[in-house]
Amino acid sequence: MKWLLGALLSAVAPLTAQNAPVSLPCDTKDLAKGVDAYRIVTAQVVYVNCDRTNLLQFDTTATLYLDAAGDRKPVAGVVASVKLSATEDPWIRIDMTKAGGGAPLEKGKDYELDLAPDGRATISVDVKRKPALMNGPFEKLTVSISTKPNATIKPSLVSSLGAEFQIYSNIALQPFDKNGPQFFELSALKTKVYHKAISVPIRTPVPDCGASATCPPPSPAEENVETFGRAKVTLMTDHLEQPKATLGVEGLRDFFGDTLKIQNEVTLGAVPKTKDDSTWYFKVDHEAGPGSLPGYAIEAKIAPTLGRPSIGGFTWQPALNMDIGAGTVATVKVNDTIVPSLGLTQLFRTESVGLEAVRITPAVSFETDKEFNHQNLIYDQEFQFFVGWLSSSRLVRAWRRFTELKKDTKNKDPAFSNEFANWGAGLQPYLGEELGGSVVAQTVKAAKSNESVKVPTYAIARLRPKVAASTEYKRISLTLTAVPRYLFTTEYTSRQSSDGKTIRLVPVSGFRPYGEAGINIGLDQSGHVALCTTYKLGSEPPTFQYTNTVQTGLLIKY
Amino acid sequence: MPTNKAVVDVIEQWSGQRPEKMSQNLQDWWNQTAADSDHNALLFKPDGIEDLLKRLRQAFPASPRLESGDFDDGGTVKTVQDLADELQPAATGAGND
Repeated sequence: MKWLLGALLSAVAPLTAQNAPVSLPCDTKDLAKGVDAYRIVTAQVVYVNCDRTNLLQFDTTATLYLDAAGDRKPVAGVVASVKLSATEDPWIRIDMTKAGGGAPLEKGKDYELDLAPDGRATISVDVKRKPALMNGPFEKLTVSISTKPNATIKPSLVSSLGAEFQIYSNIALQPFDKNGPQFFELSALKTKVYHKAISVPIRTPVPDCGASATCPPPSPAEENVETFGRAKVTLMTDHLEQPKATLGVEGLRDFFGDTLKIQNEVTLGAVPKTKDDSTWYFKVDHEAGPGSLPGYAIEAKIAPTLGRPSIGGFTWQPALNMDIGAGTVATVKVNDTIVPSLGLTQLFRTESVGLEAVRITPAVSFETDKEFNHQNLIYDQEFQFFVGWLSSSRLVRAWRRFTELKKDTKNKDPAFSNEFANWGAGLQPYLGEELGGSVVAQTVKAAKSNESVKVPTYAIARLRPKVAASTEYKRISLTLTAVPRYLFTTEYTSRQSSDGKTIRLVPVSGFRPYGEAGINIGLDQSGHVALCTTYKLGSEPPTFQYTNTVQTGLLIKY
Repeated sequence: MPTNKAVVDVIEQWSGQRPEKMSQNLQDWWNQTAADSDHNALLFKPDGIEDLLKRLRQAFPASPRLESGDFDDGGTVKTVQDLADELQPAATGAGND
């Protein structure tokens, strides 16, 4: 942060001279091991990624050395000037010329560049949308580069996972035929298995202009510097399915004419194979109730958000909500609901600090139970409201504390931890409506006799307000969900006697509230796995069985 | 072709603040800028990602389409720099056919 301090001091007292050298605003360490550290575009032009988003001016000189560290020797006769690639761009451009002509950089060698070797530079940065001139002297910054022909292959986006790959080379690519480069995977026997593929550059490649000639400089940075040295490889007939593979590409040449060595391990399996965003939870509960023998219940929700938008920015969202009992729970009734649905969802941000956003989710759902005694087809329209002052999560509080610590000069570069905050709380309101009807009249038999009852078809019109509240202390969280559902029409369901021998038709209408209160104890730091105890009270469609149970189990949530 | 500045502009509109570094982790930035902001009640996943995808589609219609899975643990987009990398479209008509 020395550069920021320097910039602030410069803004306050720009004419005040400083004695202690300050760091150049160029953070090459964070990117040194990545694919975007630098780009060698010609034998005279190198771009270096400073990682900064607020550079306005970066004028200095550089010195070129052959080899690294203690063995390095200055390259004789090379003069280098440094300029910012574009305003607020992280890349700086280093133009080198060699006395008497010729190429400053030669292929297959390691180099170092010292930026501001004499401590002098003209640097301007954006501080709170105002330019601030930094005063020197500056500390010399050494950047390592290499003209050795090495490149990296990486997987592409989820939508083309296993079929499309990205090549990253620190040296610009020469033009190539789309069928020229050969894509291969290394088999278990370490033999190369070739796949038919086509390759295209991400940006127009840089043609070879002769190793010793002075090449014309590449076009100004109206595009993105990092695209030099990049190509996309698309498999034409195959699709790699394995979670990991060692992949390579042969036949791509760098600017110096060397064939790039591209072979490394690529991870393909960590992304969900369905290409969906996996939003789901699964809970297995041990269940107990007043005067009952213990039983078991399974609660599951699967609601993946499909990546592709469909209609007006809405995204498809199939879902399955299930809450069913398994085993004997004596006279204690459990929720018996299975509700698959297909909906569309979209978040609308208001960009205000009160009501921050509304998520609108229209869906068509099918309500049934595990006996298939109900078959309700529903249009379900839900609004989820995000209110800023109703939410203060532990994570956001921890980040707020972290930001405060960073501002305190006594704490140098503190590392973020969830432990910066112990408490968090939130409350989220919803409003939903359920419109539709029972589509088939059902004859429902008693479990232990031949007695039966006919459940007629009926219309459904329900209002479903909901409030979900939570409080968290470290890994312990308390949750409360209240659904004061109101039925505007009369629906029908069946009820068996406790001995299972008689059965009767029951009309249901009016106020039918349901609520859950739970305590979860996280078993992992990320909160994906938790021990949970839930108290359920009330009734839910389509059976509207009155539930009054305590369930304890394991919750897995992603 | 999206410039780094254009990508950072989108991140600033999305999160309310301009990140200082291209190596800034997007999820951390969303959470770090949440306090007292207009997205205090919105989680990074799924809400923040969904809103970012919408903004990226509007700002860079010619760029490859990202999905929410690209921001998952096994996805390729973690930082602002990753985002800028993935948004670069392949050159059309380039290469020697």
